[in-house]
Amino acid sequence: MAIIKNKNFSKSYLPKATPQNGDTFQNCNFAQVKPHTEIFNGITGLKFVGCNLLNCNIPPDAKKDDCLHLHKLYCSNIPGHKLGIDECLEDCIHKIDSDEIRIDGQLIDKVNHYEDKIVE
Amino acid sequence: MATYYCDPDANGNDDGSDWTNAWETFQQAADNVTAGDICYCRNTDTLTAPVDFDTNSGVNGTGYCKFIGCAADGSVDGTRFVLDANSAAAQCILSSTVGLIWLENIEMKNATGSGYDATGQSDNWVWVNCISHNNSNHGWDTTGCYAHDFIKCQGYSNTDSGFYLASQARYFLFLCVAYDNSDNGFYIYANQSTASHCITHDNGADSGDRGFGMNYHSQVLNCIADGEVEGIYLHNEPVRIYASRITNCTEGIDFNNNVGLCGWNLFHNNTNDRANPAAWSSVGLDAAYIQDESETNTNLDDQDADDGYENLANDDFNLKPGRTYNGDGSDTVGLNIGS
Repeated sequence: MAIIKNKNFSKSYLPKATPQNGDTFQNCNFAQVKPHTEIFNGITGLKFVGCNLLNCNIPPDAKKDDCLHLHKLYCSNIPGHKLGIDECLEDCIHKIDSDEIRIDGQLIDKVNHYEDKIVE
Repeated sequence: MATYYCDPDANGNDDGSDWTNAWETFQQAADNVTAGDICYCRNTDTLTAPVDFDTNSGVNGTGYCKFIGCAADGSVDGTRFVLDANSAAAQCILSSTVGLIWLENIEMKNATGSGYDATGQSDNWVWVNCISHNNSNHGWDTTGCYAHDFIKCQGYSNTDSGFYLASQARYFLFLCVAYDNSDNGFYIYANQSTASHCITHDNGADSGDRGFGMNYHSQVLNCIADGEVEGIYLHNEPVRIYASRITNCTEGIDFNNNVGLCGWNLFHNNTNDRANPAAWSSVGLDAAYIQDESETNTNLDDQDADDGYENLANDDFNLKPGRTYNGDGSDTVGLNIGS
């Protein structure tokens, strides 16, 4: 039952984590780009303390204490968005509003505003 | 010039007058402390909404609005006051209008956005011995602000960057560490900024993730970049990079075809020590020695047998005895900040 501290297992670093049953992670980053990414399926008795578990589904019997744990659906229409997310349509669920640019009443351009969404 | 107290565990008159009657939320402290005042804070404030600094600024000549974390007995010994967003509050601290704020011994964590999110007129903030971690965006996120100082602060395990200092200018970071963030360590798009005696290590693995990203007229001095995709990246020019160790990175310095003035740096075990351009040049000034090929300048490539750190596996970046930043024995300063 090892204690693994201060490691970055986020995104493509996840395969570097190879826990055994009963291991404890302290202050580790597991953040993933897609909501409900399964991590460590089949490993039992894991404990997460002070970890970043954004977009992670941890094993059902795992314990967590003082962790960030929520799911966020990133929008590919936002400049500089994270790599590896699904491509969004222009009218996606992330759209907040639009600014229409008109000259002499003529619609010249439309600028859409988006935000990443926290999801269940 | 009053002294106030904040303790979410207090159960008195809630007027901030002493520890017994301390304010029970940090929002009350932010709303009531004025220029020259000090508010001592202890224990943990579990947030359901960001603490919004939108009322009082410090004043030149009168002083900062100061907030200082304390131990349980009220002593100032480096123990941090905790702002826990608890995966519920969007930020721990939010600001768009006030300046000259001093925060010391503060921990921010578990925000659904960034630990600290500042825009607009939030200028001249000072952060001492503060931590921002496990946030869903950045540890610190500033846009449109001027002149933040970070002394001995850490940003780690955030989902984006440890320090995302997007604009405007004059940020100063000393003895700071950014590590294990999903994207960047220090993403500094603000001009005229300095990182001195700072460490970045083991941040994001994607193309474009970087340890130090620096903008116009900025400096990286006596710093360490280790285990990054891009140890140091030049958004724009010129950037001065002196007496720094750039180790175990994919690209040590990516000049991005900008002017980087470099001297007394050490490169070790990077896939490519330099990129865009890879070759030193003093003609095109893309990647220039401070003194072209002089004997006093030692941008050394792989001169040491190992990376020279005390215990890299445990993130101890203090240098082994006799090891130096630049490898030529002229510099024996240790960072002693670890992570």
